[in-house]
Amino acid sequence: MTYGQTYTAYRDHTRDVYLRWIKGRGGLAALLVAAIFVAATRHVAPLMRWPSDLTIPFDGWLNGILNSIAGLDSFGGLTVRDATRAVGAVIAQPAEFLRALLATGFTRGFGEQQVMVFPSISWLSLVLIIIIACYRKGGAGLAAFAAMTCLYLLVFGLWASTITTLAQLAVAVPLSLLLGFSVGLLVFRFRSLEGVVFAVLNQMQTIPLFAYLVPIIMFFGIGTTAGILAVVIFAAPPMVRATVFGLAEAKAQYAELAAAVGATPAQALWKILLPAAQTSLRLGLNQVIMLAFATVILAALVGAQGIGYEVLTALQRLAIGRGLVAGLAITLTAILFDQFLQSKGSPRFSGRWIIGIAVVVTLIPWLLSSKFPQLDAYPRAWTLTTTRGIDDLVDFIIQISYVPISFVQSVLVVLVFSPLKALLLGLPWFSVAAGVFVLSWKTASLTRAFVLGGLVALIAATGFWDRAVLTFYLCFAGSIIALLVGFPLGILSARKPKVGRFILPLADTFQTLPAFIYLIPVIMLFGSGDVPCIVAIAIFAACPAIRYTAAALLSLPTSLVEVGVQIGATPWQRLTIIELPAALPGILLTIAQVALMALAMVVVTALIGTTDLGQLILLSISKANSGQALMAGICVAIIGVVVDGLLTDKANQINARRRST
Amino acid sequence: MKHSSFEPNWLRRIFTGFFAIAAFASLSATAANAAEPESTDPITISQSPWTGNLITSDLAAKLLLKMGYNAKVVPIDGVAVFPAMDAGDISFDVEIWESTSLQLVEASEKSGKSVKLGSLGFEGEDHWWYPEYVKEKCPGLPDYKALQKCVDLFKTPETGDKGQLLVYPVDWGTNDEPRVKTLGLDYQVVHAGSEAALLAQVKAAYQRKQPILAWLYLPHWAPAVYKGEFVKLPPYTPECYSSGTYGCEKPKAAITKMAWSGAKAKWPRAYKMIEAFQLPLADYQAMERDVDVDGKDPSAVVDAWMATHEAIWKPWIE
Repeated sequence: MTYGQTYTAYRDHTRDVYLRWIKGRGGLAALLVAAIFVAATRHVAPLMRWPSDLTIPFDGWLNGILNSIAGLDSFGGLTVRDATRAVGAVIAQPAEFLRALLATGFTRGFGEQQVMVFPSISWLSLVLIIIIACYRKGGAGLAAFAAMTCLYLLVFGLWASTITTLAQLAVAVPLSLLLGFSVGLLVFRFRSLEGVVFAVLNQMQTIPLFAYLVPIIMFFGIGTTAGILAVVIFAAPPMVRATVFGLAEAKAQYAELAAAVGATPAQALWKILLPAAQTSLRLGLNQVIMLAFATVILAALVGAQGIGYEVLTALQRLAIGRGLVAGLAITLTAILFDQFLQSKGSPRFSGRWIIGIAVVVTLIPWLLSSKFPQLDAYPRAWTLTTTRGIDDLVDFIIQISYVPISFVQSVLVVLVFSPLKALLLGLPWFSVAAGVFVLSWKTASLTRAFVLGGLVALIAATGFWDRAVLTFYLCFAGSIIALLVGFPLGILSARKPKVGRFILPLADTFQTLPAFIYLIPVIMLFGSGDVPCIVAIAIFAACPAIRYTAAALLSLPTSLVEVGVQIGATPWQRLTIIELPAALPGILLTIAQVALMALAMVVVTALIGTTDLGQLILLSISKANSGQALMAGICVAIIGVVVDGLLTDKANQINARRRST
Repeated sequence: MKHSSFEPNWLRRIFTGFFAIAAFASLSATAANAAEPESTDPITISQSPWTGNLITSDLAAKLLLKMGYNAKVVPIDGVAVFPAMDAGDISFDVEIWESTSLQLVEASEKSGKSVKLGSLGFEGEDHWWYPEYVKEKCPGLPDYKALQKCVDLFKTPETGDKGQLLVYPVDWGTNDEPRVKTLGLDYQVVHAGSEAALLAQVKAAYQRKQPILAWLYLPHWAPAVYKGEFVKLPPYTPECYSSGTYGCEKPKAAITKMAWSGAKAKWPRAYKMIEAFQLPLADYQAMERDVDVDGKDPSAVVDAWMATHEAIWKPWIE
C-alpha cells in the first residue's frame, strides 16, 4: 500500500465514521450545530443584518435603466417607446374589431352625433351560435351548460363586459400559445437555454403585476393592449413548460423510430414528435386558458375594460354580492371555454348543415334588430341588478361568526403565529444563506449551492431583509395550512375516484376565481393583521395542493399499489408505508408548487395590509419609484426560486438514488 | 348602450378627409362654427374604482360629448393614472385626492408632462371615527383624551396591550405613529392595505357591534351610512406639522383636477371646461349616496343630475 492509498483509505474511513455519527445522531446534531452557528452569528452585527451603508442600490440602477430605455433614440428619432406603441396598436386592433362586431357595433362620430355605421351581431344570434357550436362539439350536456352560462351573463347584465373580455382573450390566448410554443421549441432545440429560460418564467409568474405596472404603461400605453400583455405575461409560461416537457417525452419514446425511418430533424419534429406530444400540448392549452381568465382582473388595473373591471369596482364599493356574481361569470365562461376545446366533437351534423343553420340563426335576429331594438342590445329592464340575497347571507355569516372566529384567531396568534414570526425575524441573514448553501450542496452541487446561497445574500444586500422575512413568514404559514387542507383532500381524491371526480375539477375552476373576490369577505371575517393574509394565501394555495398531491399518488405504478394489496396491508398501512414514501418526490414538488402559489399572492395580501415586500411594492409604485417596485418584486421571485430550487433538487436527488439502486 | 368604438384606420381616414372637405366648404360659406371641436382625437378621462370618481369622470365625459368632443372614460387604477397621464394616454383626471397621492401629483407636475387644473370644488377631511355604540362604553368621547381610558375596548390579539387604530394604506402618508405618541395614547397604528380593506373592517365591526377606531374621510358614503362620530383632536396648526409632532387634526386636503400637458393646445375649450368643472359638495354627496346606499347605477345617477342641474353645468361648457 502506498502512502497515497493509505491516505485515501484513511480519509474515506474517517469520512464514513463521521457520516455514520451524524446519521446516527440524526437531525439532532445538525440542529445543534445550526443553533450554535445562529447564536454565534447573531452577535456579529453585519451578519445579523446587512449594514445599511453598504446596501447595493439595485433599485436606483433599475430606475436608470427603465428611463434610458424609454427615452432611447434608436432609429432616426424613433424611440423604443414609439416602436413598442406601434406594436401595441397592432395587438389591440383585432380585439377592438371583435368587440365592435359582437357587442358594440361599428359607429362613426361620438356623443349626440354618433351614428351607427354597422350594427353588432344581435345577442340572440350570438347565444344561438354558441349553443349550436357547443351541441355539435360536446353534445346536449355542453349545449345546456352553454345556454345556462349565456342566460346567467344576460340576466345579470354582464353580457357586454364578458364579450369585451372575450375579445381581449381572443388575442391574448393565441398570442400566449404562440409565444409559449416558440420559446418552448427553442428551449427544446437548445437545451442549454433551459436553466435560464425556466428561471425567467418563474420570475414572470411570481413577480407581482403591480411591480411592472408602470413599465407596461410606459411602453404600451393603457387600455386593451396593456391588458392583453398583462394576461400574456401570466398565461404564456405554462405553454413553454408543456412544450418542452411534451417534446422531451416524445423524443425519449420516438427518437429511435425517427432515426430508423430516416427523417430529417425537421420532419422528425413536425411529423413525429409534435403529434406524439399532443397530450402535453393540450394540457398547456388548458393551463393557458385557465390562467388567462384568472388574470383578467389585473388587466382591469391598466385600463382594459371588461368583466375584470366589474369585479374590481364592485369590491372597491364592498358590493360583495355583485363582485361574486361577476367573479362567477369569469369562472363559468372559463369552464365553458375549456370544456368546448376539450370535447372531441361528434358527427351529429354534417358540415354544410351546420353552416346553413348558423347563417340563418345569425341573420334573422340581426336583420330584425333594426325593427326590434330588444334584439340589438339586451334590454336593461330584463336584467337583475340586485344581489341583496347574497349580501344578506354574507352579513349574516359575519355576524354569527364573530365569537368563534375571534377565539380561534386569538389562540393561533398567541400560540403559533407570533412566536413563529419572532423566530424567523431573529435569524441572521448569514445563517440563512449558509443554511441554504449547505442544504443545496448536499442535495445538488457546489455551483447550485453558490447560486442559491448567493441569491439569499442578494436579498440581504438590497436592504429589504426584514420585509423578505415577513413575506416568507406569511407564505410559510399560509402554505402549511394549505397543505394541511390540500393533502388529505388530495389523498382522498386519488384513493376514491368518485370523490376525486368531484373535488379535482372544483379545485381547478376555483383557481380561476380571482383572489380579489374572497379578499373582502376574508377581511370582514378576520379583521386586520396577519391572520386574514395567511387565510387568503391558504385558500389560494390549497387548490394546487389538492391537485398535485392527487397527481403524485395517481402517477405511482399500479404494480406498487397491487403489491400492497397482495401482502395484505390495511389501506392505512398501504398509504403510510408504501405509497406516500414512493410518492415523496411528487409530494416535494407539490410543496414547491404551493410555495410558488403562496408567493404569487404576496401583492394581493398587501391590499389587506401587510408590512412585507408586497407592501413595499404598492408603496414604491405610489411614490412613482418603479425601480424599487421592480427590485422588491425580484426579491419575492428570489424567495420562490430558492424554495423551489431546494425542494426540486431534493426530489431529483431521491429520484436519482432510486434509479441507481 | 352604444359607445363610439372601433373604426378601421382607413375608414377613419376617409371620414376625416370627408369631414375636412365638408368643414372647409362650410367654413368658406359661413363663419366658423364655435361648437366644432378643435381635434376629434379621443379625449380620455381616467376613472378609478371609487364611487366619487365613477360619478365625476362620467359627468366630465358626458359634458365633453355634449360639446362635440370625442370623449371617453378609461377605467384605470388610481396609481396607474400618473404614468398614463405623463405619456399622454390620459387627457384629464377630474378627481385626485391630494391627501393620498400628493407625491405622485408633485412628481408628475415636476416632470412637466402634466398640469394641475384647480379644485373640484370642495376639500376632503380626514378624522378618527368610532361607531355610536362605542360611546356608551367610553363616555368621555368624542374628546381624544377619553381614548387612553378606553384602551381595553380596542385591543386585539395582535396589538397586545395596546389599542388598535386602523388607518389608511401606508402610502397615503398619515403620520399617525407620531400623532399617537404625541397625544400620549397607547395605541398601535395598523395600516389597512387598501381603502376597500379599511371599509370592509369598519363594515364588519359595525355589523358585529365590535368596538373599532378607524380613519374615515369626508365626503364619503361610510360616515353617512354607519352611525358614529369623529374624535376631537387639538385643532390643526402649521407648527404642529412642521415640528414633526403631528399632535393635531389633519389639515383639509385639496381635491384637484389634472391634465396632460398637451391637452391645452389640442382641445382648448375642453381644457377650459375641465378648469371650470366645480361640483357643489352637497350634489357630490347626494350622488354618491344614490349609488352606494340606494344601489343605483352611477351612469343613471349622473344622467338624472344633468337633467335637473342644467344651471350648474351650462356655464362650464360655454
